[in-house]
Amino acid sequence: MSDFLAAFPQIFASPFQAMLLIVGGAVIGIIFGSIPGLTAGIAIALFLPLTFRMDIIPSFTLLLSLYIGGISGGLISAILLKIPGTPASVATVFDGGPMADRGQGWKALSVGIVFSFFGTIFGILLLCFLAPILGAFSLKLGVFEYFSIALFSLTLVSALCGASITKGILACLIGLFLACVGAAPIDGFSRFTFGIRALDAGFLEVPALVGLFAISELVNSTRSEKVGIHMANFTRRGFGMSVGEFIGQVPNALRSGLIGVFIGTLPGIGGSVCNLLAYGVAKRSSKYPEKYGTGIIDGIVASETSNNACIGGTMVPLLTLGIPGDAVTAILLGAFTVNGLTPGPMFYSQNIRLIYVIFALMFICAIATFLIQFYGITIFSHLLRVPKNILLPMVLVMCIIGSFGTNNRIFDVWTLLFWGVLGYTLMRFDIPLTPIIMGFILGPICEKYLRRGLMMSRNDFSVFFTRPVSGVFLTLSIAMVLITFISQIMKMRKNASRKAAAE
Amino acid sequence: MLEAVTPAARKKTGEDDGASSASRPVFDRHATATLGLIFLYVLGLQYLGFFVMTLLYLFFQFYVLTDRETRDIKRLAVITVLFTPLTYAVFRYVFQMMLPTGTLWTQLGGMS
Repeated sequence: MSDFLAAFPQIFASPFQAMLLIVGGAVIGIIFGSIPGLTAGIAIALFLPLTFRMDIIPSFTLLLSLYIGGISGGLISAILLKIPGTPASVATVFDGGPMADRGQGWKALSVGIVFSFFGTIFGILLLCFLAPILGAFSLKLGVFEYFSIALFSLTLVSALCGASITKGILACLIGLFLACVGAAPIDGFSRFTFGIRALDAGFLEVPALVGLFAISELVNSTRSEKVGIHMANFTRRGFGMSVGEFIGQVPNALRSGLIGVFIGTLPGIGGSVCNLLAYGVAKRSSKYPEKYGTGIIDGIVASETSNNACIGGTMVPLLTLGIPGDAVTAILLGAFTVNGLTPGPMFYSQNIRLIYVIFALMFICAIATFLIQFYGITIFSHLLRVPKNILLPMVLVMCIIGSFGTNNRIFDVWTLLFWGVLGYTLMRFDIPLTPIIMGFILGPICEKYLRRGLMMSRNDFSVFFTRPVSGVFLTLSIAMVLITFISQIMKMRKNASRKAAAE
Repeated sequence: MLEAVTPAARKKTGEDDGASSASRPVFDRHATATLGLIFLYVLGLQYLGFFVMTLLYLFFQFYVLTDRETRDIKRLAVITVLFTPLTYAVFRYVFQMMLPTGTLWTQLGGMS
């Protein structure tokens, strides 16, 4: 607790800068979250180069306020435009849309904002409770376990992201391959550089991430497909809901929050899955499931609480093991490595002070986001009217600045374009992008621990299976891939026999 | 012979991909034009620098993305001319980041 309280003077060491970063980050985050096509991840990737010149605490102040603001902002367009601003707010549309149509737009927004805040705080509280336990556990892990856990994360991401595991694994392998470019870990041997000196250090993270997520998304949203946009109007009236309504939703919110945190801690699936899951569970356990989808606050509560609680969940593996669980935490890991902190078994215990600062920062950012969104909702809703054809090119210019600014090389801007074209092309073939980035980020970590492990065991692979924790994770990884392949073959056989029967 | 094979093959791939991805073409006029413009933008950054290329890129990108009926060239030009110096100033002087200067200008400066 004293560590926790000691964090506040550190955060507000220069109060003006801290407040500017918190408020600015939250506002920009909410804007990125509320505009369909721009996500919290894009905002964080875009602003990462700006933090390179800052100390670690101010840089996390900015990145965390962008993250929390970005996830919270998705509800505005979900309710007013019936288009989720981020994938994390898909389920908010189901009940938020009909409520806005009935003229209850303000009530829907207010419920969403209040329970987003509730979810964030719930997630952070569980994070503060879980992190020390996992942090103590992580001390017992060695090189072998780290390799297996990283490999398990990659398998999980491939299996859970997107509709087909084949495409997930394909995406993950593309990421692993692209991570090989440059000097190999440990011996520094150059791989796949084709004699290009600029590639000696591999692809830089910022242009790769921004290209894969932002450029592909921007190009994709310039496509000529027209969607009629109708924006619902709303008028602010008081708090939007009664105290009784709020108390009635608490059990729903707690359940959805638990789902959010749990899903968040699993690698690969984050907010985009948990809001749908929480909505489904809330509907099934409700006394009036038939009312879901017609515009009741229960649906908004389930979706918004869970996606914000997920933030705390995704931070658990990042802060305790230094292993990112999704695209956003992969970028946050980049912020750690820039400041010289390396992921590994000692990550939690060595950086305990910083981790308490991060907990405190998350509380502050959650409160700031809540206040800004609640009182500034009218302004944010006007921003949704800014035409996309003006906004997207401007964001693209900023992507270019960010990529160039990392190292001041035009080469990195070409990297951005290369990853952007790659991301756009794969997107068109329904290949999920998150496993690519996870392969790209976790690949080198995986390889480093594998090679260190092999050095310790004198090139004996069996140690990876005989150490209990490592063995369990490896077995789980192998089992998961095998089960999916077998079930897919069974499905194909079934289809074939059905076709034969039909003929 | 060929005619007999293609519709069957097309039908088969259509079934595998599901209706959603089969109905959408991979190449799209706007998206392809945007990719081309970004390519030229990056290519030009090397020689003409950030300021000139951003002016050019933004204007043409706005032009491509606005509908022919609602296109107002004056308005697009004004947005471009306002946005570019503002961005340049914010990133160069407030955030103190380097921006591509362009080799052409440094070469011209060297000659004079």
